[in-house]
Amino acid sequence: MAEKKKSVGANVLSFKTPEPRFPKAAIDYVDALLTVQRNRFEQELSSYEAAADQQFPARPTSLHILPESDNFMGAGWTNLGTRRDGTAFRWMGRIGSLMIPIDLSEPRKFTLRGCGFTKRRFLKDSTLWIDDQQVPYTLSRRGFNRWTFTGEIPAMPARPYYLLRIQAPGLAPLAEGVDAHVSLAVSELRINC
Amino acid sequence: MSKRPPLLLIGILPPTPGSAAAATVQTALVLAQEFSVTILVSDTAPPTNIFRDNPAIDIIRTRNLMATPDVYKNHKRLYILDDSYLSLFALELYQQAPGIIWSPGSKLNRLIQDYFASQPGWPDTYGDWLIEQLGTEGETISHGLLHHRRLSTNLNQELPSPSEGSSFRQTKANLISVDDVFSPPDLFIAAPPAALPRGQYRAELDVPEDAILIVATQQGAERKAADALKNLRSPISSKMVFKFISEGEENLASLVCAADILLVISATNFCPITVALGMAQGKAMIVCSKPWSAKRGARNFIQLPHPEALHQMVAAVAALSQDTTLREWYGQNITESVSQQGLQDISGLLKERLKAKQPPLAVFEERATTATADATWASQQNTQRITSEGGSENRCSDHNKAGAALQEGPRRSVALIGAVPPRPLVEKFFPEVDWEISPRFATLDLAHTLCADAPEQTANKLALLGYSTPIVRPENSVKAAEENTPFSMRTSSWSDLQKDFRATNEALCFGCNINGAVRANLLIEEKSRTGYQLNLVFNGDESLKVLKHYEESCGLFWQLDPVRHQITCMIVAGLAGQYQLSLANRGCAVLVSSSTQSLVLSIDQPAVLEANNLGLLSFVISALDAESGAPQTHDFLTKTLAHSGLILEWLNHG
Repeated sequence: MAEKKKSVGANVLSFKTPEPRFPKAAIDYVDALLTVQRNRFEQELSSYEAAADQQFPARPTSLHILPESDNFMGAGWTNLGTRRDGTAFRWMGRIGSLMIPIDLSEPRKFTLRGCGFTKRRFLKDSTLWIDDQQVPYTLSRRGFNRWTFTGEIPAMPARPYYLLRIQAPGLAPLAEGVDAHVSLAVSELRINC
Repeated sequence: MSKRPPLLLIGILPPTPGSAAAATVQTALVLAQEFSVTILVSDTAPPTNIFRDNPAIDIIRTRNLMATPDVYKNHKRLYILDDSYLSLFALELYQQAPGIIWSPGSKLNRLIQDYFASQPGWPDTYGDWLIEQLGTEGETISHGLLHHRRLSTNLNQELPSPSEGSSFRQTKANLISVDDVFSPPDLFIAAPPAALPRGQYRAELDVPEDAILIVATQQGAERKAADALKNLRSPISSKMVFKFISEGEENLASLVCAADILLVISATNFCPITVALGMAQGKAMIVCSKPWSAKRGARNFIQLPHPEALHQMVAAVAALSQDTTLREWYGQNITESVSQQGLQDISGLLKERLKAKQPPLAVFEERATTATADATWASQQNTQRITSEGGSENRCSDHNKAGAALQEGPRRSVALIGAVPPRPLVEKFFPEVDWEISPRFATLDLAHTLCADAPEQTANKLALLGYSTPIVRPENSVKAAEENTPFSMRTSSWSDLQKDFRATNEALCFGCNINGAVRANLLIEEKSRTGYQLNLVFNGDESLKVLKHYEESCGLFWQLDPVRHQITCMIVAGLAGQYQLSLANRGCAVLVSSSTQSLVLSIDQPAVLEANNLGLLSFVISALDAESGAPQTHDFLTKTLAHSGLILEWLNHG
């Protein structure tokens, strides 16, 4: 049995040399390729210019986005749903992203409200991102299935818009209604208001 | 006729995808205002519909240029190259007739590698070039290639681009002269006139004036963005109109003019021509972050990290479509940087460069006399040789003389001389001949014709085709004269050869006239009144990397060119006249280029090929995508031919 195992391994790793180490020629070859690549990266990086001094058109300092409003724009959301009390919401998959055209020259307080979740652990295990920076938040719950994330979006370099990303750790089927796998239902986003 | 100066634009045309094809189309449109433009494409380029309705621009193939070089003697020459093997023909032409090279992408390293691979000195020449470019690292890499057959295809991405001034250094192979290359990194604006004004074109596209037209050049990107945004059902998304356009289209400039937002997220390292048009017209653009985007002003675009970044793409489309101010701001920014940062109109600079004097096209005159591709020339030469060898025989008048046939008897060894037809044909019409033990000899004519492209490989090729040595030369010729043939092979007359030939004294000659041999091809012509068919099979063992092979069963000699992704075929079919070549199965398309034509072959559309007077057919096969007509790689070609063989049929029967 042991012999058989050995022969299988030998087939998979068919090195020309029996020793497990790479021969010097191979190491030199890889080194040369990597050096050439590093040279290219250095050249390219030096050609990128810093975009820090750009004067973008003025943007608002506060923002209030509702799922049914025109400025709710992003990917990863379901169609509009309505609760019995008339509150509109959209379910998100594992990732829900929102385009927020706002001035982030200084930190802004935010509140993200939701009115549903498919698993309780999705609430506390979710993460919030603004571009590639994580945003810490505090979770509070009210009633049977309402939830709120509150926190502060840090100051960011000037851009015409930012991408707010909510990431849930998993998906679960909805208990009733349409047959869909979703995580959280979002009903409102307030920034600095 | 107009007095505009003539210009030969050597490039690639759609349906071939890629930036060179798009650049050729748009540059031709720009330059057609001042020049009388003729576009030159290769013999193996797929047929194109572009410029069919445009009388100002002609399209020719390389064979037209070679046949009539005088017509194009005083044309200015502009080469448009990209880094794929499809530009190889242009680079080879440039070696003979230098002109201005314009490359829409800055790197031509892959093309240079292909060029070396297609030349005899491979891989040493490429190794030398690497050492020249990279110094010590080049030495290690070329050592890996020479001794361990390690070839990094990605290396071409890493090598310096010509903007760093090293890629186009004069090499030992004298590949490209730096002075001819015209590819400054910050200069890529070409603005052909839009055929229709914005409003009119939008109306033609059925896009309302208040809608936001988003044009994507990446298939599928527009659909993804549209799906994500339409899902939200907001009023703004209902006003968005998404369109996909292939970059090779003639009316690209009009569409860019009509668009509000350009979504150009191609993953290639070449700057798409749509970006150039968008910059010229001041459009808000979403591009994929690449070195070229940094060089053209990173701040002018919304940049995505990679083409699959869906969330960022949707956010960018949403931001630009929702906010008119932002859209205008980006457009204005581009216009400003075009005027401020020294970004200039490439068409103007090209025109300046093209006004400079270029040497006339003298080199082709010399080539035309030795051109192997010219069928008329080849056939003339052959006719001359035959008449000079055999006295004054004419094939038609000789018809009755050839009546002498082989004596009937058991199967035996018979010498077969000349263009011997495929085995099934010989066995069918000459049952006395035992193929297995019958030696075949080539004549000087045949050797010349078969090996015209590479005389130094004559011995090798004749051996592959099953011919024995020596070559049979005409009886009355002087031996010394034959030694001066371009290939050094022993020649002998048939009477001399017969003395050493113990097995038989009988001989059949095909396509030639040898004293003491039976002229056989006229007999075959007589006997094959019902026509004959051959199934061409391409049996190569992929694992053994067989690149050339002779199929005895159908007389087909094929040679795979893995650099140019094509198969060169030569069939000693045995009978002169016309042959029909067709595909045996549906669902695929191949391009057949012979010395006179290039035809797309499908099951409903066979090609008619003309054999020369030796009954020799030669053509080149390359694979096309059945739907788009774009060229495919040789892997695809070999699979296509395995799926559907070719059928060859003689047409001059009955």
